[in-house]
Amino acid sequence: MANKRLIIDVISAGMIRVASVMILLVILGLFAQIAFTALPLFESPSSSVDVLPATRAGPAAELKVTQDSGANDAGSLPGLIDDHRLALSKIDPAAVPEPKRGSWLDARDTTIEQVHLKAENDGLVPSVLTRYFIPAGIQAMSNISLSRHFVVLDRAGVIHVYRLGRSQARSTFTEEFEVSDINRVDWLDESTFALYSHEEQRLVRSVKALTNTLPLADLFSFRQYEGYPQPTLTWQPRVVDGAESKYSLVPLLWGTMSAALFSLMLALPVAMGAAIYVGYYMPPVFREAIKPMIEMIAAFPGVVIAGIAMLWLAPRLHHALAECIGIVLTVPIIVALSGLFLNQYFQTQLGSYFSKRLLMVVVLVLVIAIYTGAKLGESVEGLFFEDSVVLWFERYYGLSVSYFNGVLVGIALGIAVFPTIFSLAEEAIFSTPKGAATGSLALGASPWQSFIDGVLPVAAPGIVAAIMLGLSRAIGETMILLLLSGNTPIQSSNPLEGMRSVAATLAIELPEAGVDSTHYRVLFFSALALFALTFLINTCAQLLKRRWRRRYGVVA
Amino acid sequence: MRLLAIVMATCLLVSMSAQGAATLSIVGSDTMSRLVTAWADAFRTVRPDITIEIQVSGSAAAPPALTEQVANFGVMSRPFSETELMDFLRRRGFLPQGFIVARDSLAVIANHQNPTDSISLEDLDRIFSIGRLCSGRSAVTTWRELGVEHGIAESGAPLILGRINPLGRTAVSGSYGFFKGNVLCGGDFHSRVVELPGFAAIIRTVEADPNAIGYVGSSFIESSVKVLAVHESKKDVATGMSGESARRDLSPLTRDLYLYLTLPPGEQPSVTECAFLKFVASGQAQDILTKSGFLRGDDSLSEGLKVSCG
Amino acid sequence: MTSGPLSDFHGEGSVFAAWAQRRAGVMLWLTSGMAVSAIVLLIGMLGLLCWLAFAGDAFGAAAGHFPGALAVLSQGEPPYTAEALFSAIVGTITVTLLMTLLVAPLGILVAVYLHVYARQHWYTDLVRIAIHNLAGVPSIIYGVFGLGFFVYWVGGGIDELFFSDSLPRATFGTPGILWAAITLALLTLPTVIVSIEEGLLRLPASLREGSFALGATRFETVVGVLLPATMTSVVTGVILAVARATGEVAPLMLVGVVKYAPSLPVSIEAPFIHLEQKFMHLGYLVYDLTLHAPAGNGRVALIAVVALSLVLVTMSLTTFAAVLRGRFRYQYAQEGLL
Repeated sequence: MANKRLIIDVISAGMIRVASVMILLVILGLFAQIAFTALPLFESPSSSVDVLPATRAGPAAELKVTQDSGANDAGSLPGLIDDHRLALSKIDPAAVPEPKRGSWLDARDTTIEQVHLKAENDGLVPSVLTRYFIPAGIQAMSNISLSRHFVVLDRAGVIHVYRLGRSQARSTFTEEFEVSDINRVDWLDESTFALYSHEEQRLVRSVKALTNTLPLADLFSFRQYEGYPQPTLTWQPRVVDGAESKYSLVPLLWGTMSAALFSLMLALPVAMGAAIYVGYYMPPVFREAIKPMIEMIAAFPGVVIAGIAMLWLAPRLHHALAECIGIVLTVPIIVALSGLFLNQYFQTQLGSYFSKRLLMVVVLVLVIAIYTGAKLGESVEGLFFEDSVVLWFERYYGLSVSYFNGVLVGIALGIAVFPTIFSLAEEAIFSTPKGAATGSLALGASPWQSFIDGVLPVAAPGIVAAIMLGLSRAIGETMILLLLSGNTPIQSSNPLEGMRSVAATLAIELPEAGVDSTHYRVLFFSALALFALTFLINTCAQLLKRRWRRRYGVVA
Repeated sequence: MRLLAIVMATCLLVSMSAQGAATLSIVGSDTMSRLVTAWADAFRTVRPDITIEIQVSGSAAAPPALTEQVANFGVMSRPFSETELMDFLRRRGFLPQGFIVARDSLAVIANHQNPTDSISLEDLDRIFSIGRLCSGRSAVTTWRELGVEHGIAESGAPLILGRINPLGRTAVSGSYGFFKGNVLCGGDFHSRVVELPGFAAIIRTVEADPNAIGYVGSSFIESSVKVLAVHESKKDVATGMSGESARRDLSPLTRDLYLYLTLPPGEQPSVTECAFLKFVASGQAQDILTKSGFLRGDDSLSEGLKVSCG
Repeated sequence: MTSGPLSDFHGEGSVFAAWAQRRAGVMLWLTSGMAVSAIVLLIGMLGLLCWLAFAGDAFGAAAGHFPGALAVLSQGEPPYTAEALFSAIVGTITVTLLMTLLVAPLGILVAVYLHVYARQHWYTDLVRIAIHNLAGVPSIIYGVFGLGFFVYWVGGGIDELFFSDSLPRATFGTPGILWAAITLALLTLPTVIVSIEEGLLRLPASLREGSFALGATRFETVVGVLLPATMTSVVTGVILAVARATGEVAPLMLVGVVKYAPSLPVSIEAPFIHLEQKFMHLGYLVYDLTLHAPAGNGRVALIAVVALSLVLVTMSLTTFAAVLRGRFRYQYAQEGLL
């Protein structure tokens, strides 16, 4: 009955809608988790101050300040034990550490200077890193917390919380109380400090300031860190207590993008060429056999490519760089030249654009070309570069060459990305309607012209989707970058140097970062930044695709 | 379709029998991975009913695992840091129990084709650090600046050594922290220092690259790489560390290796945990320890076992 | 379609300008050269793996050779034994099949919904863009999400509802093969969705319109006409998903893979597939071996043997899928749909 079909239709539509929305919600939940973990990083610290109630102030109150509790004891955590007792932490990363390492604070009446030691040629020289100005004069100053903040109470009753390295206060609190007798400010833990008077045993305030936040500029601008000779963009999260964490995302994002670029440079021509040949020139009979074979490359997972490349390819590449470049340059030229001169001998039958003989000859030409390329590279190296390209460039141009370099990453990642681009591009090319291409041929155009004018415009959206998916894969790939890039957070456009990608950094550091710490949030933010970058690229691609689809109207 | 069914049936038929009921989980340092794996294998012959799962990525993995009660034991090549202790105390209300179960040294290795035999701590600082807080001297980027121009290739021909390729572990490794604290005096690593996720990767790379220099736990040393003698400064006499002496307590880079567990005050470890702890304190485990290239720890574990575990 | 743009053309009089002819020749050779290099690359990589696994002296003094690998496998300690290798193979196949069972229907659901059922507003476009972009998020984020959402929240909930008597020892609230499969499915879902959507978009509008014109409901059009026509792209998406999933190690480390698991996730005892167990995975084994291989001979050969098993497992799964795809194409071509 017609009704039954309608009922099925309505129910199925409802179920499909519900199921899809649920799945989409889970997918978007992933995105939400990234966003909601990362974005609190930029909250202003003063917005989440939680001021613990002051104790009964006044001479009658008894305040026992004990210093022998703390994390080094089986005892209690520092903080307010009850209304009468304040336990201080035994941890005292001193305001004035021993010279020879780190930095310290020199306090005068209205200025504080953060002084650090810089290495000159003949020893460590103290130099001022940051100056903090407190016009009202300093009433009391705290030690430096584990989170690299310190607190200053000025004579006007304003509490300033500073972070080492930034002369701008992270947050300021104004409280209405008598400050003249407060002479101690101490950190109780990473985010709580107490102001009190030791002599009069009077606790005034215990303030919890949010310290796992960062200004956005810290992630993207040059900063002069303590102990460094000059301002840098550095990624080096804190491992050992007492050092400052360096969270610049620029090297990471640069590394991800350059790895993706190198891999696309190598994979794109080969994948597109193969897709065109298999989807356009090949008769279906052969295509059924060859396409799965090429897709077998996808069966090599990233881990295997990474492991084999690290154990087998890396040492050889290091010694055979010139041969490699020789091959990459000579093979296309030789193949193209042979095509130029030899193609006429293979057109046996008018209208047939595929011949098995051609394939066999191409194999032969390819092998000869590879061998020639290697030999050519070797001889050029010997003649012009004193037997080693690498050392020659290092010597005369100061170019740095790394064992783990962009070429290695490009090759390995290119192999990983190739099947994705090939599969989808080939499907796009093969599925275009025959009309335009055959019509063009009938009118006298060459097969290549027919491809460019008849097939490519229709297949373009699919090809763009393939490239975008390949790019996404290259950006998100973890294992290959982890083992082959050297994980060096430098921004270099030299393909012979290493890099550090966001994905590898996440794989290394995320499992160990404390939940909701600054490090954790910064890592999630780097994933968010990556997402934003791919969003931009993909949106442009989508717009392009839409335009082409509308113009060449396969489907509205 | 049929083939798939046959394959699955085969798998079902050939499956293993009863699973072990008791599992212990050990998380932490790569330095101790060989030791812990060797102990786990020997322990399996003693107690085949207890399975031990081992996950080693770096010392920094152990504190969160213990705090979240995901692991029974944490092995670390450095003690808990203050921040980690505070986190643990905040979450669990007591402190973790740690025992020094072994000692080893951090060895500095180079390729056999590199003629260098020893290196000073100062030079290590100049190679690896960006701030050079320990040495206060200028940075060193090429082997020539250290006075080494040529190596000897396998064929016997001279080999020009170029830019130094410094290798290290990733930031989660306790050895990374140890190197940073003791050789770099708390300074930072240069951005060009390669970070590899495991000691075996460092060994492989040093084997293949004549320009490489790296640090590994002494139990990972193989004959395919050369151990450099580390001395305090250029003027001092080399105080040892090459091959055999790496295993003796002579190097300035010796460290204690820890085994941590969570033990609420007043409670005993579980029966399976006790079994493993007793095994670790036994003579058999100590033999395995020395054979694996480590030095003995202190008495803290045996003392602790007298108190608990019956 | 059973034939490409060029394959049916047997025209005459194809006289084109000499330079165009030359250029066409060059491009033909270049493109065929690329295709051939791809095949050469494949054969080369397979050959290299086999050689590293079975031949000797791949690298000089510290060489690995197959007898060495065999020796390590037969008398070594777990996880470097033959049984452990078998356990890893079973674990890999199981988790990949579970993932496929999840990702294929879910991908079809979402792609069909976005293409057919959802009103084409700016927010559907936004959702589409978001899905496309999720393919670029590093895989470990999926692991963290899977851990937080599925293992702790959903798994914890299941534990409280159904397994409360065995708490605090978690049954489903701890990493296991089910959560690993779901995490992998989530990871590869964007790829599958993209592939299916591209396939749907390539279908001529006449197919859908004709079906509606003949009075079919939306459901019947989707199930009877659109889906069969795009089955090839579904299978392509699944192939890409399987290839990606067998190689992803980082997220699996968080949601259920261990270095050594004493029992298989599938066994004779009911319920035959133990979804809450931790399991071994070949990819993780390769990663672990590369970083922590035992010293001595056979080390590199061991890595190569494990890698080879992984490649063979993936190849058999993808070949199976490709054969399926070929049969779909043949079947629907017979019915005149393509």
